[in-house]
Amino acid sequence: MDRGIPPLKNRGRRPDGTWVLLWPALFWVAAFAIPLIAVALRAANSISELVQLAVSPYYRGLLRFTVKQAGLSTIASVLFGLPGAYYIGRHRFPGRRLLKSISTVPFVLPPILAVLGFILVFGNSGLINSVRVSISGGETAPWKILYSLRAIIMAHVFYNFPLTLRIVGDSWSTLPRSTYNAARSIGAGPLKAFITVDIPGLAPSILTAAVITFLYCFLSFAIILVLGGGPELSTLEVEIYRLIKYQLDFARGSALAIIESLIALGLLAVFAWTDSRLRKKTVDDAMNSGTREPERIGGIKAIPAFIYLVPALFLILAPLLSVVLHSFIVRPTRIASLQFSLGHWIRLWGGGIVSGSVPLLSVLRTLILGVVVAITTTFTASFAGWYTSHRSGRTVRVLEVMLFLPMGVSSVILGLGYLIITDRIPATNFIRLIALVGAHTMIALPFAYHIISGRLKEISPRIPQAARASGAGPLKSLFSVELPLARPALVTAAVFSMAISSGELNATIILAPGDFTTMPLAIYRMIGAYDIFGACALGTVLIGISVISFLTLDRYGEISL
Amino acid sequence: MKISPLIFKSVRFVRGDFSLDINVRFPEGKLTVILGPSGCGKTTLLDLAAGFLRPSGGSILEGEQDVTLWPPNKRKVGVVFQDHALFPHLNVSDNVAYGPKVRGAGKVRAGNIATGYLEMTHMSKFASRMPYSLSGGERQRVALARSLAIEPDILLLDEPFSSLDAALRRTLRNEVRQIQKHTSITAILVTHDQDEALALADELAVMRHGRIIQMGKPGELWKNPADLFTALFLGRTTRLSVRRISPLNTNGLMVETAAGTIRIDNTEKLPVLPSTLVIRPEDLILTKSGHLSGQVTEVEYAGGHWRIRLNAGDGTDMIDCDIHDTMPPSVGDLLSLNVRSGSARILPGAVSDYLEAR
Repeated sequence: MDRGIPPLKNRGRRPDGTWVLLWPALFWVAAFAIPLIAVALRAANSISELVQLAVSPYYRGLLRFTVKQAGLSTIASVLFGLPGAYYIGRHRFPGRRLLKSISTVPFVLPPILAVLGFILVFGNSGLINSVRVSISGGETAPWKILYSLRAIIMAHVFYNFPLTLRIVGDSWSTLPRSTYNAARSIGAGPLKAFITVDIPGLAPSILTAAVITFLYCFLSFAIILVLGGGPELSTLEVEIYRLIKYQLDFARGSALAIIESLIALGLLAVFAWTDSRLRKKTVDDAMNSGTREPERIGGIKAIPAFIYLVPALFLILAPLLSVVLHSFIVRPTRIASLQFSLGHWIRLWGGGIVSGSVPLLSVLRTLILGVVVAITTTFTASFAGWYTSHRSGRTVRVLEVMLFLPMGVSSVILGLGYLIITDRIPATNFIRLIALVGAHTMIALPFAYHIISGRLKEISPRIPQAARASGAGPLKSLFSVELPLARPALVTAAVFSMAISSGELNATIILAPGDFTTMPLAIYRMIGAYDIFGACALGTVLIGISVISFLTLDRYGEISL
Repeated sequence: MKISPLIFKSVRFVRGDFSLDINVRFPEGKLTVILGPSGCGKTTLLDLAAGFLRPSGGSILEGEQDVTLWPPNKRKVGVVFQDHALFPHLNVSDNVAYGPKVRGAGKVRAGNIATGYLEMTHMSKFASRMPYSLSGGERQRVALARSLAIEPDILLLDEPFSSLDAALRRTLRNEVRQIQKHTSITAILVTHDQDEALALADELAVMRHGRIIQMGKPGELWKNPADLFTALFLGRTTRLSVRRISPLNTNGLMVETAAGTIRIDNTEKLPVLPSTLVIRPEDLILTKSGHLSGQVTEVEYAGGHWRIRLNAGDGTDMIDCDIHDTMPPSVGDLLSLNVRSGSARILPGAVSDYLEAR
């Protein structure tokens, strides 16, 4: 041990270990701030572009449609999710735990699979139409909803209603018993008590679910890309993609991207503000009085439950099962009946379904990319989580806001930022791949941080202190004591990051080097080439990855948002 | 291991409206007990000594060495926490070997060191057990072994026995006492338990509102408390508010209280009111016609003797004494007592100002 008094310049009264933050901070700046600044600079360079956008009726129409479809999708998702939240939160019934688990499926399900499944179930020659045709005969497609606002909203509901089901359901099951009983005892009927006590108590969680759903729908990409079409069914996100990918108009793309981001971030800010106010109102000593007993569903009550739960389960599972099923089916001629076949699978491994992409390679690429992203994300989130779990006050709050910002910025924009930067330098494919890893990591980071820091904050501060007094430096304590104690959270975060990376289409479609096709990209191209069955075979592999992720998450802990 | 004192030189620590201001020398090779009510800052003092917190002013020295800004892993300080803080994912032996290992001892040597200290704390049998399978006392033994395994210069113990039952507490505190004597390590133990403090301390420091009020040998503090807080917090004492003081010609005072008037010699200066007269129970003798008297309000058998509390005047005037008779008085009896000469003290302040000390 060195003797002597440490130099005077060291005399800051700051606790040690601040340098642990160095990596997350550098990463955040390089992978998020700089790309975004690049987009902003590009937009600022062409103020005229911004003005033009603001006055153009075309872009105002786009914005109007973006908000309209997101708003309608949110209302529909929340309304469809609320009864499920009621049953999950307030009732006991066989299969409740299973339903709760299954409702996490969309969290790990890539949007492109949702689209594919949606086409198979609701499409012109989809499951529902086939059933109707076989019952009534006659027309080939009695119900045409693809490529319409209705289709977009329905796909969004399928993808997002489990959010409401989970978030509001969890909150419903923890409502305090005392206030409800108090309302009943002073003469309120069950309905009155529900309106005056339950609804205000649930308001924060309903708001959370609605805002997250709105944000997802506002920034939705794959669903609009496939199910929308034409200028009247397009959103800002898809328009930005078209501008930069096909018209190579980075200036206009950047301007539009900045407008979109400002709206999304503004929404997040308003949400953060109202959320903290609402929560303050509902948190009081009533919270300590225990929760209400869940009710058993039986007799007459089982009928409405059945009427809701069966279609809800159908909505989650049918598209996925259809994808798997269709990968084993061929229709030899246009009028022949369907037959079982391994043909698509054989084609898949033989390669050459879509020119320029080899599906087997896409599986490998997706897996390798996913593993790399899982490692970088978990690593970065662990360091950031270590820092915030050892500090308190303003710095931590600012850091957490910074870490959650990527949620309010669409990944198409992140991809655009990378593209602008790599455009400036002679970018090799390798550099583009690094950029892709950076983008995926940044997209997964808020979730991974949330999961890991939540666990690290639960560890008694005395445990790392005991390690430090034993002689461990900050990093040693992190790796030998804190991270081993957070292992389930690390697994959850890693698997979740991998699932996000494997399903990511938005940034990938913009950033990936020409021949670097990931699974979602390959599926998207197959859908575009009307090779639905081939897409299903590859989709089934992707579902496999999602199912493994889902089972791991289900085992190691719940996803909470 | 080197034996050196731990010195706090005008160490200040401020957080919110709590402020700590410590100027103290914890003597080398001795066990110093810090006694104080909850919230007085005694755990903060330990956190500063371990390096978990950094002071906002002043310096901390281990012997000659200024360690104020050293991180905990650079200091050689062993810490035993109130809640043990064993590493839940490591077994007993690995918990103890952790320190030597991260300090660079090889795996085998670290294991040997762990074996040695587990023997010292009688935990050898539990070497391969996981922490969750241990009782509170066993955990505390492992925590002690772990803190000693780094062969620290300073050992810090934060209320180490507070979660244990009375019998186990006694055993374990004797063992800690013996280990400290045996290793002659500089140790600081924090507690809010008066009996524990008096039983263990080489040096006793009483703490209140972030300051050390008095430090010395336990017997000295018991007999000559520096202020009313120390007198009350250390344990049973008679407390009678002084009504009037009249100086005598012959270098003494006549002190008038609700329980009677007594004569006190050898006071250096004339006390000012409000003041309180304090006398320890062992200095009161039951007689037929003594100087003090009061009405019995509580009688408590303490095995071999009776603890008696008398009331005189209003609610805060109380006499605490011991009676060794076979027949105890009953509640309501009037008792009369004499004071052993030279044992009564007059301390400034009123009992009502020190409610946290009872």
